[in-house]
Amino acid sequence: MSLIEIDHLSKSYGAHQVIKDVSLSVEAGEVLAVIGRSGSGKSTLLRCLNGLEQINGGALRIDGRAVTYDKRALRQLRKRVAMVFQSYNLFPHMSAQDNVALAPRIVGKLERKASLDIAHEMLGRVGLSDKHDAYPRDLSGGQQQRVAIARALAVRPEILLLDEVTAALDPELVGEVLKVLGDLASEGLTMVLVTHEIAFARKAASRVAFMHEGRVHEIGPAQDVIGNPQTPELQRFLASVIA
Amino acid sequence: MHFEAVWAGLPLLLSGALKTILYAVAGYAAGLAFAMLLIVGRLAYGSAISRPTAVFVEIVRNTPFLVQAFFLYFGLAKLGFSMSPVVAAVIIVTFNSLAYTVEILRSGLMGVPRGLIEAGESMSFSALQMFRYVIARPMLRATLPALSGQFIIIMLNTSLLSAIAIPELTYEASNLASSSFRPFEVYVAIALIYFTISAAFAGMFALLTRAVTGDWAKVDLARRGIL
Ligand SMILES: Nc1ncnc2c1ncn2[C@@H]1O[C@H](COP(=O)(O)OP(=O)(O)O)[C@@H](O)[C@H]1O
Ligand SMILES: [Mg+2]
Repeated sequence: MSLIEIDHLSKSYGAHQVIKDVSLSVEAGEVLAVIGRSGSGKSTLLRCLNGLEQINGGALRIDGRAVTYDKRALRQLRKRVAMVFQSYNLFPHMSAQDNVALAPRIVGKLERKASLDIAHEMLGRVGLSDKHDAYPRDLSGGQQQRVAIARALAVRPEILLLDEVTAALDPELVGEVLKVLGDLASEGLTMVLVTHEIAFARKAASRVAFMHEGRVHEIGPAQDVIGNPQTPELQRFLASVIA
Repeated sequence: MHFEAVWAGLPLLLSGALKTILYAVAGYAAGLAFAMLLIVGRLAYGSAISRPTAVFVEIVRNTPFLVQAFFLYFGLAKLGFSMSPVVAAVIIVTFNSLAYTVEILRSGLMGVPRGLIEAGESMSFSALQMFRYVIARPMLRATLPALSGQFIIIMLNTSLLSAIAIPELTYEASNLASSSFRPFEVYVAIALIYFTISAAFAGMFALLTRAVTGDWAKVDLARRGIL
């Protein structure tokens, strides 16, 4: 049994079918990179995985348990499957440590002190031990995104979903975030990451899925999918992002 | 000019002014509190809350304050729902505050970045937690100037409560004006009093606005448990 099982999944917004019969699975400790053109359904797929979007067809199982949408089940799901967004989405009125400590405190029901201990641990993991009291607007984009990663890690999830987390960053800040992701990967955290950083996907991901018009068009070991694309769609896509 | 009548009646005017402030503050605070509850309800239950709210808002905002007061106090009495003027007054001020502030808060809610709400959602915050930790401060920050202006309007509108015999500032003034035969002096005096009340509250709201919009790091109201 795989940690994530996506089984003939479909998702529509109104009449517009965005995910079409997608099946794939992710093993514990694996890093799956999802690549593809804008609009191909990558974000929607991720959002389905932590219940931000409800699926219309097929099934979704995390650790063997089907995803359902009552409040308690969603709460359980999101404790195991955390999400990081392209635009960081840090709470602007809270310091870095309060951003990270918030979910452990109000969802995990920890004491303030215990939640801050977790925040400090997680900020340490992303290399921001010196920024506990800094507010988001005083941090660079790369630092903000690392705080956002720490915030997602604070509930000790088994799976981390990352949606183009470096896409909004200035080029010189991309490296520090990718380094954190590389570290997490080597620690064995299961990750599904949507990215346009093809070189990083090739290096850090165990497998790569190429999405095209709502379907998984190619999937396989990173080296193969990126190094030896089979379909003209993927060849064109790779040519366009690498050029 | 003969302001002796005003001086003689000043205690009465000031007690009326105090009532004006009481009705305005109590009604506005209650209306604003209900408005916040409705915002939380909207977050939790969506259109099941927002639709009826919209109907209520349209009714209150598209009928005159004075007509509402007459309807509640005289009209409903005919149907057997009689209430004291005080109760009618509190209901009117609260309903008006609610209808206008919920619209202001709604526009403030629209201004809270969608991504912040999604971040809270992805961490399973409840509607109440979402309001308290994610939305309240950006929303208040954006809407305090409008909420301040709305308070002044509501406070000034309480002068219409004199029509249902609430002994607030305008009611006391019109009594004094007719008993003293000095309407000019009396109405100049209460205009000044209304102006002073408005200015005082506008100043207080400005301070509050600065506290909430100022440096997040320096003025952390949330950490001190105020918001
Ligand atoms: N909330 C939504 N409502 C309607 N359509 C949406 C919504 N979110 C995404 N879509 C549409 O679904 C398609 C896939 O979007 P998305 O998953 O964001 O793609 P990607 O992340 O690969 O760019 C797009 O055509 C987009 O316009
Ligand atoms: Mg996307």
